[in-house]
Parts: sequence; structure tokens; C-alpha cells
Amino acid sequence: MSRQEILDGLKKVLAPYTMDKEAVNSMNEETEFIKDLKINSANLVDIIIDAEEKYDIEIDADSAERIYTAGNCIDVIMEKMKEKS
Amino acid sequence: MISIGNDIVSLQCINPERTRHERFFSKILAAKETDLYENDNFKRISFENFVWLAWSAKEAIYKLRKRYDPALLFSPVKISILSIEDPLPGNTPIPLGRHEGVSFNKEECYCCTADFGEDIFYTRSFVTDTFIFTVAGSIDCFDNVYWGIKEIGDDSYVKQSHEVRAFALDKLRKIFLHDDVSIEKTDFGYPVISREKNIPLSFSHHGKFVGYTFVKN
Repeated sequence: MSRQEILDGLKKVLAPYTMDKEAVNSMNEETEFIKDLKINSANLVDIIIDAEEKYDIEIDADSAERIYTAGNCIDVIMEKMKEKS
Repeated sequence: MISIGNDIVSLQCINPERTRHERFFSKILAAKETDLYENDNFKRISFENFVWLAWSAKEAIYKLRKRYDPALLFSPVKISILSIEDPLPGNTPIPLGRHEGVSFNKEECYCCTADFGEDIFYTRSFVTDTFIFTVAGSIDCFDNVYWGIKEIGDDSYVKQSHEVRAFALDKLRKIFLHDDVSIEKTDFGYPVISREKNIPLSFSHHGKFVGYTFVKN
């Protein structure tokens, strides 16, 4: 799965947690979830779990804390998918 | 460095069923923290509210510490709640709408002690039917903590951000009577009450609730 495919998939994961749909549609790897998408921190666990379910992976605490931009979220998802394969 | 952190959780915005799943709460609570709920007298609040009380305490501590460690990342399970004291039964003091106060009566709030890295932090939380509000600080700061909680009509980010600043500024203008008080930001983007005073201010918002906190000696 390419980074672009994961980025497109992440847009669907993130969309329910922000009112700024335009920011989600135009997001890139530099986009920060809280600062740029105005996602409330209280939804961060939801996002981690939704990503786990979507990609059939498990994201540990050390990896979860690195997830604050789309790019490093993609890094973590790719790492976990690779570990699993 | 003086620092302060706060957090507010709108209980209308959380998913109680999902919160009760181990997959969810294990990303917030370590096993020994789950035991705090099993072993101590916290059954007056639901398990999901206990999870969000812990979240709120950890988020407030993180915000406090991030002010002097801007590169800090948030990992709830790395902040460990060591103890929680519960309020006296029936002592929930927060009415609906708008509420402000100075200091905390320990008989009215949940008091947590937590370690994060090599430091110990303290929190005070109100748990109501509609929100959980927490302030984190040093053990000796709470008598001088000003706090405010307000329910607003619109939960958009722009409205939350505007409302919480206006709410805090209204309070600040009453306290700093003859001062031209303003809310500014540090170089790292954290709110302070006019740079020369360098008094840290913490904002939080979730759903239709906003909150502010600052310390004034």
C-alpha cells in the first residue's frame, strides 16, 4: 500500500472528528491533526483505534505518541503493517 | 517556572460504550490505574467517567509540562496516576451554565497525584453529569488558582476559541482593575496574561464547554 493510498484512507478516518471538511480534503503529510484540522485531543484515542481497525494493526503507546501529523501517522501504519507481514 | 494546565471533557461528546472497551481504555489507563477504580470508593461515578477523569487529569498535566518542554509528546499511559481522593458524597458544586471560582475545596473535587518522568503533579477535578473539568498544578498553587467553566451555544472551533478568550478576559479585567490587561502568546504559542506579567493561562474546550485557568498570587 502506498503512502498516498494511506493518506487517502486517513482522510476517511479523520473526517468524523472535524468540522473542517475542506482541511481534511486538502491535507498532506505535513498536516497536524490538532493544529490544522482542529481535532479535539479527546478524539485522539478514537483515531488510533479507527486506524488500527482499518489497517488490522496494533499501535502501541510509543508509536501512538508520535502521531500528530498525517505523515508520521502514515509512518506508524506502514511500520506496523510491515511488522505484521 | 510557574505553569498551569487544564482540560475539559464534554460527556455528551464521548462514546460511553466505546470507552468501556479494554482496547479503548487501555490506551489511557495502565493496569494499576484500572485497579484504582476496582479497589477504591469510586463507584459513585461510572467506569467511563472514571476513564475520562483520568484522561482529563493526564491531559491537564501534559499541558502544564509542555509549556516548559515544548517538544514533549502526549502519551496518556506514561503519566501514572498514583492516588485519587474522591469528594464527599453529594458535593458537586457546579451548576449548569457558567461558573467561576478561586481555589478548590478538596471536599468538592477529585484530587489526583500523578508521576510523569521524574516529577510529581497534582490535579483537582470536578465531575458533573455533563462535563469533567481538571486543573493541574504544583501542590502549593491551588489556593491561588482562578478557574472558569462556561457552556456555550455553538461547538465550532472558532466559536470555542473566541468564547474561552472572551470569558477569561472578562475575568482578568475585573482582577487587574487598572491594568491594560491582554492575552498574548509566548514564542511557542502558549497563552500568557500580558508578556511583562508572564502569568501563564490555560484554555480548554470540548463540545459546548470551555474552561480557563490561571494562577495569581
